[in-house]
Amino acid sequence: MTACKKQEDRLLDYALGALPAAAAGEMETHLAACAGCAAALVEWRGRRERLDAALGTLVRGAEPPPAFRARVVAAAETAAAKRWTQPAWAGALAAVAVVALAGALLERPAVAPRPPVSLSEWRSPTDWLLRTPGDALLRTTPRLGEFYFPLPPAEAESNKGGNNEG
Amino acid sequence: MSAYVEALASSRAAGQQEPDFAARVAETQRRVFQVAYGVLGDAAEAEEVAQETFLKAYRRFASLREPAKFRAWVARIALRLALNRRRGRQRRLVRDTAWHETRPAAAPAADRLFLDRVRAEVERLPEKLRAVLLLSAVEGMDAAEVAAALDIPAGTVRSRLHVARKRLLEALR
Repeated sequence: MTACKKQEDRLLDYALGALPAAAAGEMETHLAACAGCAAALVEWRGRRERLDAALGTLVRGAEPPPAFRARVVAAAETAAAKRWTQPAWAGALAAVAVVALAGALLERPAVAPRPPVSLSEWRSPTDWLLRTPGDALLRTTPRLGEFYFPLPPAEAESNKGGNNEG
Repeated sequence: MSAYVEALASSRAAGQQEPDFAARVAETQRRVFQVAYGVLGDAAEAEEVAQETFLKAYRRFASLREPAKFRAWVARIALRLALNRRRGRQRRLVRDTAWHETRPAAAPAADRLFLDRVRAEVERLPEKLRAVLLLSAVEGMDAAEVAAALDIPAGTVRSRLHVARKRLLEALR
């Protein structure tokens, strides 16, 4: 292809039929005088036709199957019937349920965060279950001569006397 | 159930939806199929897109009763659905590195090579140009129909079509 460099772009526009009338007239005058551009035009036109044919094949290469229309109409009617069988209030009811649930969750009293406790002060949350009235006594070991339970003084004296007598 | 019966009865009484809809489908099915096939290059996938397009059209049929409106609407929706599907497929292809056969099997080897090149170059075009190019190749769609489907002026369709064809011719030189 030996088209004039100056005309190359316009030549392609001309081959595609996109040059305005005045410019197309000038191009025709040039083509009558320039064998290179005339040959290039023939080549561009051949390529254009091949491209158009290829585009046609790529787009029109398949046909809808014979039963397509009947299938589509049946599917559309079935889908519409399914939509109608769901009562209109079902959606509203579901929405109300969701809102109520969300509300309940949001309204739940928040657990107040506990202030931090040092490890030495920490007690098991179930500690109180193990408490007994005699806790204080059980935790302290009596020294020699002491009793676990305080005895009334009079009784202690009489015990002493009894021992002496015996 | 009674609500359904009443609704169906009223819709039938109002406009006889089913016969009209079937007529519109018969009129536009080739167009919708070709739009989807032009984008996807696969007849089975094109059929799925066409079916989805018409199901959507059925739901909105009350506002699409006018034939010209219906034609433009289904072409637009088919194009959009097919492009979405193609994007999803490309993601899957990247993920699975699978090969997807898109060439018409009946074409001779040399033509198939050329078709492959054309398809590759078409896919390289910006989406605006590609949409105009593919819709213009659909049977019976002139610049006015393409313009209605894409909701752009007919002059824009013509200029985009020219740019697209010029780019393809230069790329396939």
